[in-house]
Amino acid sequence: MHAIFFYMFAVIVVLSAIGVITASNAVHSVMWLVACFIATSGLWLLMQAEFLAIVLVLVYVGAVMVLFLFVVMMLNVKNAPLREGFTRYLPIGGVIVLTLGIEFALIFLDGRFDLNHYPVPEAYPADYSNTRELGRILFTEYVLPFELAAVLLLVAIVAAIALTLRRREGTRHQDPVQQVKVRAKDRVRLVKMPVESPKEPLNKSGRRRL
Amino acid sequence: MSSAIPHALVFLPELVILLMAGVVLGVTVTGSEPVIQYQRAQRLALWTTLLVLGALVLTQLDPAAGWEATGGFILDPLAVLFKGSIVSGTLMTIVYGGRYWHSERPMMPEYHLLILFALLGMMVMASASNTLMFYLGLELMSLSLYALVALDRSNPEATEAAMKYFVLGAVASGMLLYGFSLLYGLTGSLELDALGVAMSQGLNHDPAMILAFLLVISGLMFKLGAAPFHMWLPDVYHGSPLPSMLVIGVAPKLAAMVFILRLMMESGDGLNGLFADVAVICALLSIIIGNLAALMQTNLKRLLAYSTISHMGFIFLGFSAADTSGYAGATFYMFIYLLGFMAFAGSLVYLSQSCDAETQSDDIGALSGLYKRNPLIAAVMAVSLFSMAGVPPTAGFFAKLAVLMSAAQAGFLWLVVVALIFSVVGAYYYLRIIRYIYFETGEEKTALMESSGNRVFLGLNGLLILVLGCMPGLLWQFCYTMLANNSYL
Repeated sequence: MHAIFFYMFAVIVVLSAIGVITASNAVHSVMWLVACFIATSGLWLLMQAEFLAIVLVLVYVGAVMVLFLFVVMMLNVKNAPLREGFTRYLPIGGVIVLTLGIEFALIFLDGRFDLNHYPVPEAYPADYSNTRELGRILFTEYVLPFELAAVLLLVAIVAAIALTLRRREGTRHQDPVQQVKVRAKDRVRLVKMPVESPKEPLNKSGRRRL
Repeated sequence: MSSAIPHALVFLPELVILLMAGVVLGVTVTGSEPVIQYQRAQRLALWTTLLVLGALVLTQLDPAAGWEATGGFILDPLAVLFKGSIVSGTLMTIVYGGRYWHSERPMMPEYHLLILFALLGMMVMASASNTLMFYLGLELMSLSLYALVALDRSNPEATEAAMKYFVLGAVASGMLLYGFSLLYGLTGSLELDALGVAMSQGLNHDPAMILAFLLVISGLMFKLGAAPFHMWLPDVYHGSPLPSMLVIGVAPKLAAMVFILRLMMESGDGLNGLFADVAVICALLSIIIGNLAALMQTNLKRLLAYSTISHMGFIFLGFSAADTSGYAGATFYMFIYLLGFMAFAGSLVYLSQSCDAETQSDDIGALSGLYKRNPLIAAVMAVSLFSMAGVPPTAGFFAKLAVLMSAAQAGFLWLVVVALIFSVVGAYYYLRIIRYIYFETGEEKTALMESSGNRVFLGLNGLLILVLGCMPGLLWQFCYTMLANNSYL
């Protein structure tokens, strides 16, 4: 049963990954990628990593891929220039890919990574909480990498803003410092004026007062 | 792994960087004038590097404290040595490059913030004792560097360079990561210590192990810009703004080099034969391609890029010896190269601040008659070029001597001969720049702007190259002892 599901998901992952790079339409590529992610989360479910599987679907499929779709649709990517030079670079690329492929096949197909080299993982007890264990390990054993990854995300935000924010001349923006410093008397100024006589119906701007 | 969190003092330098990066981030979002933000950020970044150097000294109060690798973090002599040089290189970058952006060029306060994040990444890389920490440090550094290259948005060349750097960098990271995943699959551990154990258990003849190592070393060679993976270097150097070129020039290469050294030392005798072969091929290709291609360049940035490739070849020459003196030679070479590169590129930044448009260009002709216009900068450039060419009174001579000696002792005499021939070829293009500076007379030009404080630092940098050329023994001995003291050897 387990094996059937594993192979089903694995085949979907591989096929949809091929679909991502061969689809001629960029939107189709994104859809293939979505299929790939969903099948991967299925694989993770089989490995009893429910939390990761759900997060993969929620974050990647739900948020990232939707953004991807928006961007792809807005950019209106033409396919023709992407394929340009394909035949020109095919010989050298082909030689490299073929060499690497044969090398990898020779190494991996001799049964080195067969299942009998690895112990069968023990099944977790029924009250086992994947999320709790993940949280525990993230904040104890892997706390340094975890914090580093957080800094990495901060860098991504800073870089993205630095590269896209345009400071145009003459734009009106709020200055928080000034806003905080403001006092009541800066806002409303009470002016004492002498009472004007009704004989003078026009004010300075020449408009008739009511 | 006993305790996941090492003693706080051990990563005091990293904490200082992170804290100060937060302060700089605060500065860049408050206050409306970009110029003021920029100047504040620069001053803070400068102080940060000085503080980090101080913190690094503090960590050495109890030198044995950080030796135990905990949580993927280790502070052994190797890490201390390289961290010191990385921070010094970043300090030079901030001093030399900071004044490049002025009113005509967009002043981005984020420039220094990204440098600090890149510095944090490099520090982590230098201290990484497992593959996960190293990869995170590498990505932290790389992301900051990509953004630094693209920072000058008004320049389409910079955007193109950043795009190339990003795509090729992602491919290299992919190779590295695949290698790491294979290593994990084979040893069942992320720790580098586990590699040494696996090696001694006979995994060193496993083809999968060799493949994993080759993938990892390829990724690292890409980050270094060594020959079969050098294609990105000239384009990225050419397109990036000068101060960003200073950032990507040396310090990231130091950080990648630490991990190569760690891998080589950790794998013990197991794979050193393989590493030596890879290093020989890489050294040969780098020295030949770098020096030959540099001959044809008239753009100073491209020329510097190809010269970098050839210098990486010499560093791999040191690796090919695969013993302590070879590693120490490569380290020594890297430090001398740091000084030479910084002096030359720093002078270029200095010249780019001058008012006339012609001197601002990267063309070699812009340097003609520099001797008459600014004798000090001309002298600094000449010293750095002599050092990079390996002419005796400068430190570069002893750097080349160190790596060539160790390669010769390891039995690669033919390689030494080839390297010597091509370093003579290389001397041609270094001397050609000196000819432009001293013997070509450009048309009438005014003297250069004198107000910058960088002249003093550039002068000191040039002087340091000469002093190290007169007494190289001090630094060499220091490198050798630090590496020989390292726990792995």
